[in-house]
Amino acid sequence: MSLEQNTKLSALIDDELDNHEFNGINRQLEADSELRATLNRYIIISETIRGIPPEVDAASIASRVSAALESEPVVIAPGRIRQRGVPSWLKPVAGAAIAASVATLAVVNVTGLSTRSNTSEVFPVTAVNVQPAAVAPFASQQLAMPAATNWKTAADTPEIEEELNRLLIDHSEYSAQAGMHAMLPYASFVSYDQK
Amino acid sequence: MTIARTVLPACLILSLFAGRVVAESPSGQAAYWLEKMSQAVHELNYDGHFVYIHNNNIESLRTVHSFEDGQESERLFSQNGEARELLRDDVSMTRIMPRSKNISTNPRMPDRTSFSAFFRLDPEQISRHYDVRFQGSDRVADRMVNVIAFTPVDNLRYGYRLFLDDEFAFPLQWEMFDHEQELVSRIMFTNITLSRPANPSRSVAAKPGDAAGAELPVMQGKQRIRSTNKLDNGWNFGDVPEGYTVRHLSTRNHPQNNQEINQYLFSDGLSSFSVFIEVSDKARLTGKARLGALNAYGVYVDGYQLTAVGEVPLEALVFISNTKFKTAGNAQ
Repeated sequence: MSLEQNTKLSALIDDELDNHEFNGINRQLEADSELRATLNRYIIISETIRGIPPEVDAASIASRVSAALESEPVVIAPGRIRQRGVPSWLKPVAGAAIAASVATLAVVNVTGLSTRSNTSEVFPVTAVNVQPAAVAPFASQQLAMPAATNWKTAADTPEIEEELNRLLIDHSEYSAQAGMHAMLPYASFVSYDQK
Repeated sequence: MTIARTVLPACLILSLFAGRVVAESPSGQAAYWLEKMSQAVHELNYDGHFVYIHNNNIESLRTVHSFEDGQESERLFSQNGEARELLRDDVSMTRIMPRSKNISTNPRMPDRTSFSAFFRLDPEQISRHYDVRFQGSDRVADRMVNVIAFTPVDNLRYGYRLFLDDEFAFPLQWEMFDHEQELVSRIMFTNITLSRPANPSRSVAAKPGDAAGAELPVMQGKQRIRSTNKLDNGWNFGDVPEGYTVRHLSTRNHPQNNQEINQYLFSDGLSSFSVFIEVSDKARLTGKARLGALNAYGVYVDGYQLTAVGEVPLEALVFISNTKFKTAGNAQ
């Protein structure tokens, strides 16, 4: 997966793709299961930041999309910009409507989804709010310096803490498989962030 | 006390694991339970709340884990303070701190499941460094558990007390203590739902016949992580702590400067730590660092940054001060 694809996925969630870009990423999502999985992860991250209660896994997100579509009126207008309300839990940080992306998610992520037209064709909907695409906040490489996790060191610098966190993650990848630390080795990443 | 609770420990192996011949020694039985525990943690579906106690702090977290069609995914998130979250699946691990809008993503080690297949618990090795005792049964999160204690024989490793679910061998409570029996950390579930996956498809448990001498897959490409069973990449580790041996070596590139990093995983069969070695133009971490039950120790040697990290006492990490790059003069 390329950085450009990741950028497009993020823009898709934030409803920042023009018609051409939307159709392009839509076709890629249909054909690429890995890309769809990445999109699911981005959705989870986005919801977490917005304080949306967590679901068990990505598949349940798709189910929620399906349920939301069932209750939301959809106007299909190929080639035209349209507007529709979206469930509050799916509104992006930018606040823009994301009708097209919701439909795309439903079609490409859920098997057996009952579409409005009772077919498996992709909704030919278009994005609503055309804005310049922002830099993807969810690229696959390190995105930002994580906040300090309260490592106690002689040199209390963010760089040292970030370095130690990275090494701890790498160590836990193997210690989780071996010996005693199969049990929740990653709890420390979540629990130690309070000074 | 019911009959089941009084005779359960004695009949445990025979009734619950029919068909398997288990070594009679406590360490042999414990090794078997540990393998079942490891399998349960990775191959069950579960959703539960637990408390994490460390350094006189208590925190509440929730974990949601699924395993279907050979794919594992997990969400781990805090229930108090900032809504911190960690997402894991077979591809990546993402750490989220919403209040500070910080997100970090790391690719998963592609060989980690293969690694587990080569890591068989050795009862004899465990018994050399731990006093293993079954401590009867108890009740955690309203479920019956069997209690196993591993008491360290020296100060180079922590001890453990496991409270394993009677039905699934899932660790409902997990305690770590030091050589003086002082509690270092505790994880205890307050409620949990456990179930077997409908379509597991893949098991991470070690299979009979797996041998540490077999070649591990070499993964290259976009993740740039490579593993090897060659446990020697030119470094001479002097004074390795008693009982610890190098179990795995992997090489990857630093996410920022692209420099090569070697990771040596040491283990005594239960406890483990990693030593990371990378080229550096300056010293970074020198001396000790601590994060609850986790310790780290760093030294700067001849243009290399060496950092040891793990769930072991600091005493087990300081040996890296004597590590040297192999030359004709100090090769062994």
